[in-house]
Formats: sequence, structure tokens, C-alpha cells
Amino acid sequence: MKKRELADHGVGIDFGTTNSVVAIHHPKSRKTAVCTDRATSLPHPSVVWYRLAEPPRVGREAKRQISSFADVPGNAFVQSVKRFLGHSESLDVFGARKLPRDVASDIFRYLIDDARDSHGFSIKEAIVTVPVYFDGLARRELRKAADAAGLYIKTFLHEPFAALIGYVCRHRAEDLSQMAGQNILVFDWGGGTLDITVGRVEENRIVELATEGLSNQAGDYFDELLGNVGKRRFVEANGIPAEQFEIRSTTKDRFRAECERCKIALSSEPEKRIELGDFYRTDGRVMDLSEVVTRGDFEAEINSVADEARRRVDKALEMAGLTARQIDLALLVGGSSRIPLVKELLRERFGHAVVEVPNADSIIAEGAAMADAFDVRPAFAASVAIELSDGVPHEVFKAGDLAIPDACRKNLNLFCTDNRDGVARLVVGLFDNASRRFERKRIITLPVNAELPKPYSHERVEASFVVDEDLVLTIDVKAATELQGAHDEIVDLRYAVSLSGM
Amino acid sequence: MTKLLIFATPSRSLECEMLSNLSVRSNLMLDDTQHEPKYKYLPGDFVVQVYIEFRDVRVVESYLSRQQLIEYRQYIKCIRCRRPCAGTCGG
Repeated sequence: MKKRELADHGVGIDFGTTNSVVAIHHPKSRKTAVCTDRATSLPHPSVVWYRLAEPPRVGREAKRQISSFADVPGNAFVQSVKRFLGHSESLDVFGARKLPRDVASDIFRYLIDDARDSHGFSIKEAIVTVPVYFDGLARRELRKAADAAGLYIKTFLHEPFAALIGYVCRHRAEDLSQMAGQNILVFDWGGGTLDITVGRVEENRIVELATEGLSNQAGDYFDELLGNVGKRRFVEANGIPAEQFEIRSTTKDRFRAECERCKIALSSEPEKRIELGDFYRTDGRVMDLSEVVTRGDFEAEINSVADEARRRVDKALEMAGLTARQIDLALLVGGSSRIPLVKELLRERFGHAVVEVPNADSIIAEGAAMADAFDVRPAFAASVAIELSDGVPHEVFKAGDLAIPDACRKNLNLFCTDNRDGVARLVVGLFDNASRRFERKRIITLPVNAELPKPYSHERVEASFVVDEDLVLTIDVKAATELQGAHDEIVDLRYAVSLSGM
Repeated sequence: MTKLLIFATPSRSLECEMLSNLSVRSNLMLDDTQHEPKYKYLPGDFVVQVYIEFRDVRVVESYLSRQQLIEYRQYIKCIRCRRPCAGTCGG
């Protein structure tokens, strides 16, 4: 296939826990190409299939083979590697230690190859999206993984914010001006995380007003909960003592894939049978799993998580200073948003404002591609500030400043107004100048000398603030008289992007 | 002496749950020329503890802010109960 020139295109990658998508946007024609699996037109599953002495297979083919090869020696499947990024634990593949970033790198390589071979795009750099609370370590690991695959990450964008850009920027310029003033909530419940962003479309920009989220309570966790129902039924039906029941490690991948299939089916069917051959072996007997699970069973399992999601939505609204009635659109993004119970809980809150986005699988990557095509760089939507001892906020980086690594570097000299307890407290947060509201993000404590010399001299404290290329705000604080300082990172800052030129 | 530096915030609602009305406060101030003299940013009782010149009650009354005076008076030992009772002992 003839390679297409990408100089005037934007590339966005949604590196998901369950599925990954590459999108390419051409600003002149306003067209976006989405690189999906050729056979199914669905996103590429983030599954890697390792085989002895053969190159790894990634995507749909790897996922399809789980049921056939997960139990066969010489085959190993890695799923949901995004959840392990930034954690020190390594994965065991054929007895060898494999870092999560190496697996992520294989996925990136596959996405790049697929974009080239199937769609004719040669990708060298892109904007990559991450969950709101994807921490600094995880972002650095993801960057290393991309680097190893020959991809440069220009910047990261929060996934729901990218979806918001993708939704808003599909409109023509004249429609865009009509959208000004609209408050939009993005509810992105995927395989690994729930990410909520409340945004506002202004005359010339899109602004994040609040972000909220839930980690590790998403699609993968729902599969696990559904699996628990199946396991309970199986144990009861076969009279197996619950404490003796354990699934073989080789069956786990197959069982998980079956639970996922069943979960997806329950969004459109009232009941589904979980079926798995050679599920359990005991006393030389091989037993198959075949249990019916209804949508009601599934909903009873996930109800407490759905309640928590509802609370997070309310919290996001409260942080944005809005009520549910002031939300003009509530966009449902991500696979777990297709669960009927989830749709229902959002309709309860937002009524007709709920929009089931037709391109929910790719809108995040599309938004990132548009941001890249128009060379949009995130700016701070609210000032990064510290709270001084008299309660007055001091802006470190002002709202509207571009979050560019070189520009976002500042040192502050402070003094401790009361060192009697041997601790200094630096309160860091986001400050909205219009509402004069200070939202606390961190209280960083560090040791200071508790002695009161005569004559008294103030304990001096130096604080440095740096926003790096991964959009992580790193804060280092140290008292002049102490060897030990304190270090912290904030990843959930709020951003705005300019719409001019779009 | 170890002190927990917290301040009270207005209580919001007692209807469904008791919310804390205490919050941790920053104890850092910018070390620049705009924030001089520094004693203005210290808690009132602490100013009197570390600056000898503030042991004179006339200096205290003249130079401390209203908030600092409140903080200072809360830690004066009561002549009656010999504790920093801030007038609550009835003396």
C-alpha cells in the first residue's frame, strides 16, 4: 500500500486497558481515519499472545486464540497490561521476567505496523491519551514503551477531555459558535478506569471544569464480578466445598475471556450462559462450566460500584459548581457505559441530555488526533497555586499559561510561620480566579527544625514546581536546616485547549 | 510543646451526618519584600513567644493584628485557673 504523507495530519492514540485505537485527522478535509481491525472494524484488543521462538501476536488474533491456546504449554497471553504500568511487578512469560512496558511496547509496535500496512500511514509521533489519575510513573513507563516502539509521544491528554475535543470539533465552525456556553459531562467507563470530566465550551476554547474518577473498578472488574457469579453457581451445583475450589492458572485467561463475552452479551440480552470446557478437574474428573446468568444477577453484582460512580458524578458536578440541570450534554464513552444499568443511572441524573456517542470506541483517539492536527497544546484551565498561611492563594502557574515543560518551572522561597511542631505544611491546589475558589489537591508535610533560637530566625523553605513533558506537576520542598525534604506529584491538573484554527 | 495547627470552619449540616469542621492550614509564607515584616504572618501567641519586644503588653496591643490578638489571648494563662482558658473558667 502506498504510504501517505503525515506531515499535515494529526495522530492520536487511545492506548486502552482492553482495546487500543489509532486515529488520523486531516485538518483541511476535516476527515478522520480510524485504524481498526480490518476484519471486524472494531478496535484492536490490547492482548498480546507470546509463543516460544515466534514473534508475539497482538490484537484480535491474539484475543481469539485465548480459548484455544491458553491451556497449551508454550503459549502465554497478556491482557490489560496498562493496569500494571508504573508498578514494579514484572510479568512471568515462559519463566522469563517481562516488564509491563515491554508488553506495552509490543502493542504500540502492532498499532504502528497496522496503521502502515492496513491503512498506509507511517506513524512516528502522536498525542497519546491517558486516564485522569494515571500517575507519573505510569506515564513515564508508557512513554518508554512508545519510545522502544519508535513512537514519540508529543504530549498526553486526559481520555475524557480528548473525547470532549473529539465531540465538539466534529462540528462545523458556525455550529461551534452555537455550542458556546454549553456544559458537557463526559462519562468514560472503559476496561480499567472510570474517568469523568465536566467541561465547558467557550467562545474560543474548551475548558475542563472538574475531573473525577475511579481506578480498577471498570470493565475488567465487572468481568471478575460476573465470573464470581458463575463460580458460585458451579460450586453449588456440583457440591464442591468452596474452600477447595480453585481455578487452574492456565484456565484463568480462558475464563476471563468467556466472562467478558457474556458481559457484553448481557447488555443486549436478558440472560446468557457462561460456558467453558475443561473448567475444573477433581479426582480425575474433567468438569465443564455451563451456567446461566441473567442481567439481574449481573446488575446485583455491580450495583455498589454503580452507586459509587453516581457519587463520583455528583462530586464532579459539585467541584465544577454546577447542578445536573445545568449539564447540556452527558456523553457516554467507553465499553462499560453500554451496560443498561449505567445508562439508566445517567438518565436518572441528566434525562435527555444523555448522548450515546456513535463512535464511542474511537472518539478518544479521534479527539487526540484533532488536537494534534491543529497543534493544540494544553493550557492550564485553573491556576496552580499554593495556599499561604494567611489563607490567601499564591498563583505559581497562571490559568491560560501553556503547560510546556520548559516554561513551567518555578522556585519559591518561603518561610515557616510556626515551626513549633517541627513540621511545615505546603498546601497545593487549583485556584479559579473568577470564583475565587481554591481546590486543595495536596497537603505536603516536611520536617523543619522545631528549635526556637534566640534571637529567633525563621525556618526557610524552598519549593520547586516543575511540569514535565508527561504533564506531571512535580513538587520538591526542603527546609534550609534539614537534610530530608518532601516530594510529591500531581497528575490531575485541569486543562483548556484553544479552538481557534479548528 | 506540640500543637496541632487546625482551625474551625462553619458547620454545614447536621441533618444526615456530622461533618468535621476542622481543617489543616498552611504554615508557609512567601519570603520576599512584599511580606515584611514577617511577624505579621506568625500566630499571635508565637510572636510573643519568640520576639522579646512583644512581651510588653503595649507593644502587643499596638502591633498585632486583630486575629493575632485573638490567638495571643487564647494562650494567656488565667490568673484564676492557671490554664490558658481564654476566659472560659468564669474568672
